[in-house]
Amino acid sequence: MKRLLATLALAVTASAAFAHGNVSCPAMPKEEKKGQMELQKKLEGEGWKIRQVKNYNGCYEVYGFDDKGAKAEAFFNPKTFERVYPEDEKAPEKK
Amino acid sequence: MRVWDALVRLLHWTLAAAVIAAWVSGHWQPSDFDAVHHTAGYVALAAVALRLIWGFVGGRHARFSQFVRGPREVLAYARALRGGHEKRYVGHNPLGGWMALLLWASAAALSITGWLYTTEWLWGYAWLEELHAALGWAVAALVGGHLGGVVVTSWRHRENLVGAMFSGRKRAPEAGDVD
Repeated sequence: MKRLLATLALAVTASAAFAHGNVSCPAMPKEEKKGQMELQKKLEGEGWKIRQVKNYNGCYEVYGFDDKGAKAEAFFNPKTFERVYPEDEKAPEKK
Repeated sequence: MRVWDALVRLLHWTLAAAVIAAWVSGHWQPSDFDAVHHTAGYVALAAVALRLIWGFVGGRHARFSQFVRGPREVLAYARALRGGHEKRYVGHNPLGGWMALLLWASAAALSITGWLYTTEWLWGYAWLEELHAALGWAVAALVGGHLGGVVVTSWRHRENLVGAMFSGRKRAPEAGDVD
């Protein structure tokens, strides 16, 4: 039983060491940011369904369904509204 | 004497490991650890579900009918504990029994809200994310209380309860002990 616990503890620590990189957006003064509501309206205009928008590491983080109806957790630059991809998630090819 | 049967011990440590793994992976923002976190949640829910069934059909000290005590006995035990003259229970003591129930209930609620958040039906809603996080802190607080109870009871009755959850064995009842 003790060995099992030790193995589990090791597995948790080991997987922590393999964590991927995070997502972040450049710091900018508040005035340069556009509103979250504006991002939501823009995305909804493109066919997204939005359930939550919040701040994350300087980005706007959007939860909902994208224009193809797929579950999405997406990050956007608050100034340009450009989508930002975490390192472990590849950006799709441009259409 | 053998008090905790093999499944009780296995499910106890499975749940403990799953809660720790889920806690670590859940606080590693944002999405790097989703697979670990989800697996830990399913394992925790399965462990609780099995334990609930085992509470009806398992070994004697695993059964709810053996260790879930009414409010009067719980209160009397709490008073005796404050006075430093509480009886030793061979299985769960009255407070420990309720602590176990609360831990299973909160761990189940935590797993279920987490799973619901992954469904299309409830994916992405802030209220569910916040409820899930609040339940996470509730489980953390209960785990703290659980560990405190283990330390206090071990010390009061000169018995290694952590070891007992590995070996299953506890000291046989002596005069004045409660089964």
